[in-house]
This record gives sequence, structure tokens and C-alpha cells, in this order.
Amino acid sequence: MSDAPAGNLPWPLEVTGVSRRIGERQVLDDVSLTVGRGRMCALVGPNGAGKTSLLRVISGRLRTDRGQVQLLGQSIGEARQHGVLGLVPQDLAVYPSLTIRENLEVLGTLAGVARRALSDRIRESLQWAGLADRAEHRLSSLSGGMKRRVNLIAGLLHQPSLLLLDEPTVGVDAASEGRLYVLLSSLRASGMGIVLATHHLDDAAACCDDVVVMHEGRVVASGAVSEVVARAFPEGREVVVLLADVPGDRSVSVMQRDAFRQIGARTWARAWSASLADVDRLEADWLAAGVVVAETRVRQPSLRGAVAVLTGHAAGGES
Amino acid sequence: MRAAVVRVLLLQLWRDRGALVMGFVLPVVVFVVFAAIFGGASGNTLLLRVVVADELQTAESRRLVEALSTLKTVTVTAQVPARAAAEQVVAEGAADAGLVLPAGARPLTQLAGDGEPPMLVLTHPARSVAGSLLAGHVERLYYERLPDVALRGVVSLVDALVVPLTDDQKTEADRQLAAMAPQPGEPADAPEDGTTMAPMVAQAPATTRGASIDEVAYYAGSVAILFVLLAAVHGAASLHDDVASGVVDRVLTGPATLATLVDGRAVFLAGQALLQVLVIFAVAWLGYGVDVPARLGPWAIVTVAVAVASAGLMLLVSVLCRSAQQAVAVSNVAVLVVSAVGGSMVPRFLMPLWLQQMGWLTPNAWAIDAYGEALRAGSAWSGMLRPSLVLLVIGLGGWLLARQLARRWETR
Repeated sequence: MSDAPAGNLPWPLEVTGVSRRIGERQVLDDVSLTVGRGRMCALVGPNGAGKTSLLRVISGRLRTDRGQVQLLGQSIGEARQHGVLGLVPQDLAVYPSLTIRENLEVLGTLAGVARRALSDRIRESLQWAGLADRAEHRLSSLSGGMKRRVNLIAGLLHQPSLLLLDEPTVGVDAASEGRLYVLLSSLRASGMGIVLATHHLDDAAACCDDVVVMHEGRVVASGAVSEVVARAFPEGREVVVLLADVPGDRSVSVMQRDAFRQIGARTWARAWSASLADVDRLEADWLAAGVVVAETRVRQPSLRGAVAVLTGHAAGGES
Repeated sequence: MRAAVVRVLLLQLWRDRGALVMGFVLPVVVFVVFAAIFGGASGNTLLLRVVVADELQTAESRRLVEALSTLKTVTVTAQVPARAAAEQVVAEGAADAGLVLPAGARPLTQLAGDGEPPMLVLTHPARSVAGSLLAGHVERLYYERLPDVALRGVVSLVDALVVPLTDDQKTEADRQLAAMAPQPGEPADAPEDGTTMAPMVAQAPATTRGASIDEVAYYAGSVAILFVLLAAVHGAASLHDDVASGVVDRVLTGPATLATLVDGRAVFLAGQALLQVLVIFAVAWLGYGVDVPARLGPWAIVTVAVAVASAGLMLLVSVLCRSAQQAVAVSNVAVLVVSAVGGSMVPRFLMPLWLQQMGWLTPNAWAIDAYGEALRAGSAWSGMLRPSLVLLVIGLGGWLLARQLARRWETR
């Protein structure tokens, strides 16, 4: 997925043929991916696709039945000892009754940062995240966006080569979300490899270099965002149809006959390479068959649409 | 790294006023209450509220009632005309026990023969010990304050069972006994001329210190182990909070392990326990005269053992549970049960034998035993070493098991 590593330097992350079954469920099935230095990779897919499981495998919390994970060419155990990996969990993995500085001191120490270096790292991190003037404030008194930033910098104090983030923007407003992505972009620019599990596909498309689309434990597409979109829409365009009513059995069979897939209660879509006049003809056929269309749009395909095509699921809040 | 965990827990405790009160104020309050109940009010200073029904209304019966009223440990709260009224007062809880001198019973001067006893003590099922105490008081008063009445009984007993008395002897006995009886208007105090019966039973403390101080020391130990265990519940259960919040996920990407988090908690909980015990025994020393400084060495060894035991045990219980809520609920119930069985709430000698034996399965019994031995003046060090060793084994075993069990959360 990423370009080959320069010289003999190993990948920050190399996952090869990882599989894991839990009970009757194959949560990961022959998953492979690589993340290079200075690359931000989005893990996307519907709920239960295996994104969080993959993050847990990479961080060593979930065993594999097959395959291996290497971080900077090291096993997970070795990488832990060398501080290769940073993690920003979905929940706020910090202590609400402690101040920001106290949290960073404690979590930095647990991450293995030497006491002499820790205070400098904390000062730099607070300035970088725009939290220097809040250092002595308790977490419980901060806004959701600030808490998310503390959650982020707590995973960076040991200066990891690879950062894993699980839904880092859950529960924050648009402004805070934008600020978080700016911070992630600056980390990427510094050469850090970043893996981001997210449902926010528009943000992923805008900010990430690469995307891995997962479905039912498998990687169904991966590569640069434009490559994945092109794979889902080789014809280059997409038609989205909003029906007037929730379709009955007859309407469903008509839409499926014409290769449309349902992406919402009344919304259907398909890749489209024909002319706009052909869309008008289709609408006339549907009307004759009793299927009433409220709105039809022809659009440039998005990552959101691509994920829907590749996984057969409406994703990222498509309705 | 363990120090970082200790620091988190310290800061969390410091900023949680409720936990501070629960951990350091409430134990002292409970100890002071226990000490006041069992230390200051032990033995013959236990106060009784008594209702009296004198159905006889004879000179002797009135003397007995008057003698009862003069006792410092008895308060005659009411005098009613009949047994039924006295029963109602006791049943309603307005008196701890009742004394009835029933009409139709044997006279007070008749020590043998048919008929109901001349004195009846009414008891309440919830305060039966009060009845036993009152019966003892009344029996003692009968012989000490009414010796002439008692001797009349003895004379008739001798006449009937030992040797028949002549009429002259009976007349002389009557005259002498009438002279012994207080004249109208005289107080019912014990006669000062020696014409009374000497007590047959005396009491003496078994230790060189006051019995009340031993009681206080006992309750300091029992309250200390109870609250040390209770206070450890939340600190131990906070491991689940770290799992749920993702702190464990974050920590495990670095060199720290779950054993680091367990170890840090063990150190914190042991330190917290040391401080709690120190506070309680400081109050026992300064407020109640328990001479802790004189037995500082043994006391310190026992305290360390208690702290280690509470930390290890509570961590083990917590790690065996699936969530913080479950850990807190299970631990609280477990602490209350072992504290009840182990003697932290009621002395074990009051329990049935099988329950006393069960007590040795609890840390409370060992802790109370260890403190008892450690603070008993003149006792050998070996006396507290065995229970202290048991506590240390409990604590270290619990800690090592908790460490091992927690590792199952590292990788699934």
C-alpha cells in the first residue's frame, strides 16, 4: 500500500496474513497491510468489520491464529520495550480528577519516558496542542475537544514511530475535529506513521494518504484514497436515487434488476458511465413499473460511496 | 512506574472528600463509639432501667425496693401496682427489665417449700442479659440489705430440716432478728454494725491494666481491620476502571504491564492501611490510654502484616471480578461477612463454637488476635508472630495471585 521503505529502513507497520477466530466468528481473515513513515492510513468499514480487532492485534492485546505483525521490523513485545507504538483509544484513557500536567506526568512515566526528559516533552506537547495555559486544569473541567487533545498527546510523549487512533473524534464538534486533524497532519509531516480507525469517511478522504476498507474481517480494498475510489467506480460517476416511498418488494426487485444497491431506507446508488439521458429513460421505466422517484443525482464518487460499494453497506451516516 | 500508579491513587484519594471521610474519619468515629460502649461501660457500670411492681406492700418488700433504688447502676424508672402493668412497660421498651414481688407467692422469709418464688424478674427477649443482671442484683441485695429477712428464712429452714427449735429458742431468734431490722424511718443501707452477710464472690482483673483498656485495645484492632478492608475496596476495584477507560490499552503499548498496575495498587493500599491503623491507634493511645508506645515494636509488626493482608486480599477479590461495579459489590459483602464472623462486630467468644472456629478463616480473627497479643503487657513476642505470619501469607498470596490473574487481561 505504502511505497517501499527507503534504503533498508523497516516499515513502521507491517501486518502479514493475520487471521483470528473468536468463537464461531472469524474476526480477522488473512489481513495484510503496511504503513510507511509519514503516511496516514484510515481503517474504514461498517461496524464489526474488524477495524478495532486489527488495532488490538497491532497493539498486542489480541492474539493471532496466523500471520505476524512487525513494528519497525520488531515483534510487538520488542516494540513495546522500545516505545515504538503509541495508542489513542476511543475512550478518554486519562484520569478525570487529575490535571492535564499530572495526567501527562503519570502516563508519560508509564510509557517509559525518562524523568529528565518528561518535563520538556510535556511542555512541548502542551504548546503543540494549544493547551499550555490549561496545564493545571483538571480533566473534568475541560471541553470535549480539549479532552480529546489530551488523549492524543498522552499517546505521543514517548515519541512513537507509529500511532494508532481508534475513533479519535467521537463526540467532538466540527471545529475541534478539524483542529485534531491539523495536529495529526503535523505528526505525519514529522515522519510518524499513523493508523486511524474511523467512521468519518469524508475526513478520512480529506486527510489520509491511504485507506484500508475492511468487511467481515477481510481487507476488501486498500491503497491511496483515489485508487480505492476508482476501484469501486471504474465508470467514474455514481447515480444516487431517492425514492418517494420506502420500497416494497416490487420496487426492490426493479432497483436490483437495474444493478442499484440500497444505501439507505429510500436511497439507492450505482456506478454510472452512461449519459444523463439514459438516467431519464430509467426513471420512465421505473414510473411505468410503479416506482416513484423523488430525486436523482449524478455525482463524482466519494470514499463514502466507494466503501458502500465495496462492503455492500451504507457507511459513515449515509442516509 | 509503580510510583506513578501510587501517585494517581493518592491524588484521586486526596481529591475525593467522601473517600477521605470514609477512610480516615468514619473508622475513628466507629471506634470511639465502640470504645464508649464496651470500654467505658464494661462490667458493673452497665446501667439498667428497671420497673418495679410491689404487689406485697409489706415492710420487707418495701425495703427491698428501696435498696434497689439506691444502686448506682440501676434506675427504677417506674413503680406500678401489678405485674401486668410492669410487663407492659418492659414490653414497650421503657424499661430494660422488671422486678415483681407477687402476691400469693412464698413469703420473702421462706427459703424452702411449695409456692412461687417470692421475687420475679421480667425480661425482654431482645435484652435478656438485662434480666440476668437484675436477678443477680436482687439476689445480692436480699442477703446484703435484708439480712434479718434472710436469716428468718434460715431459722425456719434449720427448724424444719436440721434440728427442731424449742419455743424459747424461736422467741429469742425472733427478738434478735427484729432488733436487726431497721427501725421505721431508718435508711435501707447495709447495716454498719456487721450484722449483714459478707459477699461470697469477689471480682478481680486478670491483667495488670484496667479491663476497659483491654476492651478499647480489642475494639481498636477489630475496627482497624474492618475499615482497612473496606477502604481497600475502591482502590483495588479501580483496576477495572483503568481497563474500561482504555488506560490499560494505552499502558500496555509500552514497557509497563498489568503487574505494574497491580503492584502500584498493592503499595498504595498497604500505605493507606498503615495510615488508617495509625490514626485509630493514636486515638486509642491518646484518648483511652492504650499504651501503644510501650509495645511499639510488636504493634508495628502486626500493623504491617494487617496492611499487607488487606491489600493482597482485596486486590485478589477485585481481579476475580469482571467489572468495577461487581468488584465493589462483592468486596463490600465479603468484608462485612468476614468482619462479622471474624469478630470485628461482636466478640467471637459470644459466638457458637462452630462460628468461632470459622473465624480463623478470616483475616479479622487473626488481626484481632495479633493486636491482642501485641498490646498485652508482658506478653512474649512469639504470641503475635504466628497470627502476623498468617496475615503476611494471606496478603502476599493474594497479591501474587492477583498479579498472575490480572495478566489474563493483557492478551486475549
